[in-house]
Amino acid sequence: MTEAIIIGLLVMSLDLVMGYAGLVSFGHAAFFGVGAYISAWVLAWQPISFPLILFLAFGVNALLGMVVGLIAIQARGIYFAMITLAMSEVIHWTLYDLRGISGGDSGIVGIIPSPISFPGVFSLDLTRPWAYFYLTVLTVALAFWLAYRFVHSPFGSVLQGIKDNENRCRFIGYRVKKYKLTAVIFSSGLAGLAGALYSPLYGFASPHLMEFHLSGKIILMNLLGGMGTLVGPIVGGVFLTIFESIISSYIKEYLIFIGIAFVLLVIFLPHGLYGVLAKGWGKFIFFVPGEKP
Amino acid sequence: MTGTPANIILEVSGLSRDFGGLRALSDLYLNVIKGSIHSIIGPNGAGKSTLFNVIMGMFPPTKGRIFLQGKEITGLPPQKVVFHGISKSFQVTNIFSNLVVRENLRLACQVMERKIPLFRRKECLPLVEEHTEWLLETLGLTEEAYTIAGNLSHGKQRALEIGIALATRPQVLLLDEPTAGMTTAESIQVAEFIKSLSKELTILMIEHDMQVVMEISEVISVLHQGQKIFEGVPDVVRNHPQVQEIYFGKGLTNA
Repeated sequence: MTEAIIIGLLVMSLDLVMGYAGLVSFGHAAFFGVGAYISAWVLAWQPISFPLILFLAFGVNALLGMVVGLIAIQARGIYFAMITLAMSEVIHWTLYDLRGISGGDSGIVGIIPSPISFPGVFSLDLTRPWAYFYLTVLTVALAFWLAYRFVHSPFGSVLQGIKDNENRCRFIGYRVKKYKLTAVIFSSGLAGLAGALYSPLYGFASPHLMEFHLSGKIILMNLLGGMGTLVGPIVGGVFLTIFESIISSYIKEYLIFIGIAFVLLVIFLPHGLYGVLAKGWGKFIFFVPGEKP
Repeated sequence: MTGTPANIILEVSGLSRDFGGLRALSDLYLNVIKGSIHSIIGPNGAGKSTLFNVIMGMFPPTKGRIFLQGKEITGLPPQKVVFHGISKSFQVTNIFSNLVVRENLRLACQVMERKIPLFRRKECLPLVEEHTEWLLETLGLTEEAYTIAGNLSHGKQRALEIGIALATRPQVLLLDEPTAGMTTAESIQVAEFIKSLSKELTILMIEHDMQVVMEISEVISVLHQGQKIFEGVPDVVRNHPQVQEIYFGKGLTNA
């Protein structure tokens, strides 16, 4: 469950660029992986209070996102996707080859989360699964709240304008690239945050976390959850991760079933899982983009 | 520093634009008087839309310069030109068709804010809200404020199109065929609307509906093959033999 929520956060981070700015990033696995390594490295070096590590992972990945973003936003559409894919592969294989710090193929194992501690006041041991679960939920809730404020702000409304009609945005006077870049920075920071939560959970970080098939998978999860809703992607990430783990423990060829499930979902739930939930639970509370009255 | 007289708000000087071997604009001079409604007419391919696109900075001119209120804006990209006080509505409706009408206008109003907040509520900018409401009312779109723009009727979409251009508070408004695809009744309404706007701003428009042009323009420039061949008040333009020749063919002038 904890893992599912972390993946939910990762998918939500992707939604910021994909669902709101209309930029399909094919490189979010790299930020996730770098975040995972930051946890691993810092915890091996000095077990500072865990929330600080999460902040650090957010910051480093935001910077990394700025570098990737500056290059990638020069292109649009499929070319943006290709550049992000290429750059994430560069990061992936660079870390893979730096065996000294990344552990190469086998990665780093035995990562133990440090406690949350205010010296002399209290200390929370995060090696207990429940404690870690609560921390994860809290972090994701905070990230969601920030992201929610972000997309519903005047700034976020420009992003939606860009997604709808980039050309007109320029003629209105918006510097489109500045907005796109900010979205990429925020999004990659959150992806890194997800990664930093992930590696202490199973105690390992490896370059395999950055493989592009994860990037592809979260794009699917975003589409299936309900792109451009923030909640949808979390639902999609959580649901599909759990579904995958349940079904894979029963059947060896589980990928076939996941494939079938994907196809069925796309055909029957065009607004994603969230679209169904929103319909059932009242359209007035949740807005489903793209739904025509 | 130019020698632009104070009442000239937009000055186009010796403007040329080539597309490969094709000369779309050729050494064009144009002065737009502050507060006027200035129409540009001419047959298809005369370079009217190219002129607008060059002014708005969609592409730079091959030669020549453009001044807005005495400041040079030649070659500035659209997102910068707007801040000099000019904006354009499009010939082909170019709105945010997946957003509601109000959001279309709000988004456009918002650009003039100095700081665009990252985490505050969308409605936190009082000036923007006020201006948006004013626009909805002026355009007669109050009832449709929460309709998805793509679902509006053609006429209302055209109104919204002008509204978005108006939202950035320009001093000079370029209208590229504001009545395109409208019924006669709708055209008359738009003409009235444009006229009412001209009390506060300068309007330069491309228009094919001669009735509208003759009715509301103060000055008409006639473009042909990238050059200005004539300019004058509506009555003079209407009776000018060269204009008649272009518009109605040689037969009519001989008859």
